[in-house]
Amino acid sequence: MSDAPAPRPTSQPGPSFPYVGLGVSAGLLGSLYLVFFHAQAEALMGEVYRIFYFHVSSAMGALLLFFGASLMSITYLAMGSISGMHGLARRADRLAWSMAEVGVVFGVIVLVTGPLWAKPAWGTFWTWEPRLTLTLLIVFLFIGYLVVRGYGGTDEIGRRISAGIAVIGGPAAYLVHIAVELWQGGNHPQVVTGKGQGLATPEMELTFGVTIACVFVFLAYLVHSRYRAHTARERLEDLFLDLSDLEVKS
Amino acid sequence: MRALISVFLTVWLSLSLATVAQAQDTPPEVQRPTSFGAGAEVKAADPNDPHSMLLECDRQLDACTRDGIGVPYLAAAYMALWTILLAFLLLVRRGQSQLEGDLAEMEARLREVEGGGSDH
Repeated sequence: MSDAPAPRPTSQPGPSFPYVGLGVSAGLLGSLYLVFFHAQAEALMGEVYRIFYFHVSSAMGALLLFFGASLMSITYLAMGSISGMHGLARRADRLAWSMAEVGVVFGVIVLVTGPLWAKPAWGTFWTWEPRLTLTLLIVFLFIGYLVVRGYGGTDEIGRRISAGIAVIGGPAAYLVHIAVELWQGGNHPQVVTGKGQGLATPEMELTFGVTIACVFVFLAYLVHSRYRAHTARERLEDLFLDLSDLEVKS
Repeated sequence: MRALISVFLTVWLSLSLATVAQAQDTPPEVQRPTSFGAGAEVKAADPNDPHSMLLECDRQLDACTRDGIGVPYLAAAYMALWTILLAFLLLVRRGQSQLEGDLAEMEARLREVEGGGSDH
């Protein structure tokens, strides 16, 4: 038996992982400070516009994750049929699953904070305008993806069906992004994307930049954490099967 | 996780139907915002000029009324945001605990198999 230490399984966190979590937490607290104490109140909406910083960051993050989950699902479906690429295909599938989970969480955040901002701004919690409707649909789509993953088991059929659902998420996420320009109706603000004229003051811009950066790092941290958990779960199930065979033989 | 997703789906569908019932056309005077501007700096009212004092009072009253309506929604939004994140992190933690439990079970079974093997 070799005396060399066993290599650390890839499903276990590195030594710096808890510190990354602390750094992410500090970043989020820092961005909260900037939102409430550094950025000025908005000229027309007053204080309520401060929902904007986390609402928009969450929306961007959720759409990126949905798009990424769609790409990874396409990768899984394409590579799954190529011999020798099954390992890579399974990794893509686990990454899609992780992205979908975190994407749904932040999609729900968008759908909750948006109406709470819309009520004082527009006088109503919800209107069936294109961007809002498409966002609701895409979140429902990925909730369906998670339900299929949860109830479909860990076999190949369950993975393929859910991957097929996630494939639709990519084009849908892009439609949400361009909905404001594609369909001219509606009152959803278009401030920092497309033809938006941006934020008026350097303080607002700094706050927005810091918030987006912190939220994106937080998203990456969560996706990485979920990916590790799914990898560990799959390895554990494989090992249980091997152990059952070993118990039968012994 | 499955039960939570099912509950969430049910609650969200119910809320969506309730929102449909209350959804109304946006007042035509609401324009699509394309920029967020900071509140203009207001010169301090001249205490010797009653007119500017009244204007300042009106301005502050408008701002208070506007923020009095908006700030509770701001608070609700941030509370909802952190509640959702906390709930997700707790779910993740619970999944991790289950994983650790399964790992401990597998280690125990492996020790049994190894112990039984060495007896032969």
